[in-house]
Amino acid sequence: MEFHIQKEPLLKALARIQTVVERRNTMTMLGTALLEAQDGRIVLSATDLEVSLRTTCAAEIIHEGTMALNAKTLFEIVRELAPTNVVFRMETESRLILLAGRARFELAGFPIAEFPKIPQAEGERFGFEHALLAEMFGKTHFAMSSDDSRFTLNGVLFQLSPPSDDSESPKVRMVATDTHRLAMVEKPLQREIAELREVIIPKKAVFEMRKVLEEDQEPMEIIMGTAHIQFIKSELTLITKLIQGRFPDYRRVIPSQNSIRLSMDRLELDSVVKRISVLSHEKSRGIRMNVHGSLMKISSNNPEQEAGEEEIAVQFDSEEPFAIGFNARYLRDILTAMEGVEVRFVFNNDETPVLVFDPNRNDALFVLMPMRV
Amino acid sequence: MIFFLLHACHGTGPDVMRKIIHIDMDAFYASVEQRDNPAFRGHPLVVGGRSARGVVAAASYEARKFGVRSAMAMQKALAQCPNLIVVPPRMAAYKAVSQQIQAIFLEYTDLMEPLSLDEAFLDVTTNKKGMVSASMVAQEIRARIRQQTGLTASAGVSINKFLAKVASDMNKPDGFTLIAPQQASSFIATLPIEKFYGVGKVTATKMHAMGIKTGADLLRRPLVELETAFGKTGRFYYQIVRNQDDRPVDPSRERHSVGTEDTFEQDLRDPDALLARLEFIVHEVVRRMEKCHFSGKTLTLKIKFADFRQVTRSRTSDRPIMDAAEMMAIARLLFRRIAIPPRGVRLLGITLSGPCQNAPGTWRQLTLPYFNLEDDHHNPATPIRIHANHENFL
Repeated sequence: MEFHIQKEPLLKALARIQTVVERRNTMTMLGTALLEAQDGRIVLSATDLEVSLRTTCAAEIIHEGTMALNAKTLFEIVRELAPTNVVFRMETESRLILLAGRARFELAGFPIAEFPKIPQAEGERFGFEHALLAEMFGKTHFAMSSDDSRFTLNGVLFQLSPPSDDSESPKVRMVATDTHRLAMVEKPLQREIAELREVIIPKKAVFEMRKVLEEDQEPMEIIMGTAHIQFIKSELTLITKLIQGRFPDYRRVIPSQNSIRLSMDRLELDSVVKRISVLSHEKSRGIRMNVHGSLMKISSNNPEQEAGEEEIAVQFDSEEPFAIGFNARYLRDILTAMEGVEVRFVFNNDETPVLVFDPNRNDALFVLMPMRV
Repeated sequence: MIFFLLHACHGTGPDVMRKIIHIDMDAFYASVEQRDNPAFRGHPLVVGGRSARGVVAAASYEARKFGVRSAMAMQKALAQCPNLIVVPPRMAAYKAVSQQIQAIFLEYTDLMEPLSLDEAFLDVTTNKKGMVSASMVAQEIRARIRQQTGLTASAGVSINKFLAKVASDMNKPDGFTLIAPQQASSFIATLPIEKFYGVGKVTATKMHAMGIKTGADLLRRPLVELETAFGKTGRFYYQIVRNQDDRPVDPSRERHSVGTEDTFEQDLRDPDALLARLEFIVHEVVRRMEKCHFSGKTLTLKIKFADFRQVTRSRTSDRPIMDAAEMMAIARLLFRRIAIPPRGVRLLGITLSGPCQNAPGTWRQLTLPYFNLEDDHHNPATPIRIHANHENFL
């Protein structure tokens, strides 16, 4: 194997696979990247056996071939190279020479037969708008659970559903919850959906997808299988195992009896919460909201007896004063995921689930559980 | 094999006899290592740290023939079995298997309570497959675990958690035991007291001293005597020996603490000797913590003096206490603050608690009510709409 390649596209490809490779290196091969040189390009693959990523970049191929190299070492070397042409030359199956300007590196190659086979999702392939996918992941990812004992919550539920009656269009929906909060986003889909399909995309894949979606505006294609889901754009394929199990009934989490409404400017609330939470207890991040008439006071204090408070104007439809506590970080996760000018809270009391949404849109809904002192 | 049927009518009333299964993977961590590395198969193997103070987290059945047990100091294990293969733990691999088996359990019932990565209670009184025989369910689950993971599990079936747990331990490895309702009382009567769940070395010795060697002996003791000797746990023993164990299989049960304590054969006075014992306790706590995947921020040190006087000291860290070194550093700090009386110490214990056990006056995050109940899973076919202004939610 021998090829010549520009530093920048190579570095971009190597950067993409860094978070996919297994950091803890339980198997040596999971720390490696597979380089395949063929047809005027190289294909780089990495996997942790759950999430796999393949990416390509153009190269001048002198001799075709395949090698497996330590992904982190290669990335760290290439990152530090001057912007130049890099030469990869396989000496033997276990030795690679990398030349760049006056620099020369000898790297160990790993047996390519041991590199795990990257699976392929099997199922229907369909296109998906970039902005739609980015928005949906963006509005749900933060609510995924990190608690491994409830593994069906360690990801985002991705659901395609047929119209429920003639007047409706098919829907795509994403839902995530960590049992303290829930985020749900739903969009009409301009394509036929014959039957309901739903999968749970694991957390790591969601984070990788968010990175991929940030790179450009290119539309994605999706292959949704029963064991895997695959996201494809030119030069990149991300494939992940799906979480096997049933997502809990999220509809039952959404309160139906709430009646106390409170609305305000979303960005103003976010900046007040950001300031006030500096003095909240560093573990719990608890802040208090006291509403009376058209004013809401947001306050916090910490074990060192420091305290802060600030008032903002609100629309409140109850005569009675109302007080409730929230985790400031959870609240800000929701406020930052939203886009509109206004945010509305609908309460029942200070110990039951609270609805949070943009009153001028109907595509996203959040449920947040309060905190108690 | 003849399958006994647990007779029960369907329903959820309090009088319905329950069908509880306890599933326990055999030598879990060690079996996963042997599965993934053919060279390890048939050889004595332990999972754990090789360092001077390393502790055995799991031992293969081959290693157990040499007397190697989990929680044993690694040095001792190596002394008893010089050819012992020592493998560092791969929690990610064990967690992956745990997810596989939990997914199998959930196909039969949502009333599944995991006790750790490799152990769970299932209530299959009414199950998703409509199977009448809990034995059939247990055997089917064992077969599927073997087929899907290549590992063996033992199962116990009975009318409550206590008996199901005792049953699963009867025919290990790869075993199955049913304690049918009509056998329950005679079974408990002949059960050696050491086999009672929750009776460890120390309690067993105390029971023996009281003349209690079997369930039948325990049955004859009045409640007041057991409560005097064992406190709250005494009442528990009193009830379970009478088949009164109505603890539900609770899918949302969260562990609040992990701890262990050690009563010494002789009271200890030398601070260095006490610190050495403390270090052993720390490793055992870490082992248990990893086993049930628990993390906590508050460490509590308990010291019982020779005169039975007891003090506890605790300290809360700003992030979860994860490893033995960190835990030992805190334990040592707490230990140094306690004056050791001349007659010495009879017991040391360490408990790691949190995240729920906050000090009073601090904030507590509430959980969405549905997840406290965790009943059925959703029916995805039922539509849900987010209307403009969400009037349907108000």
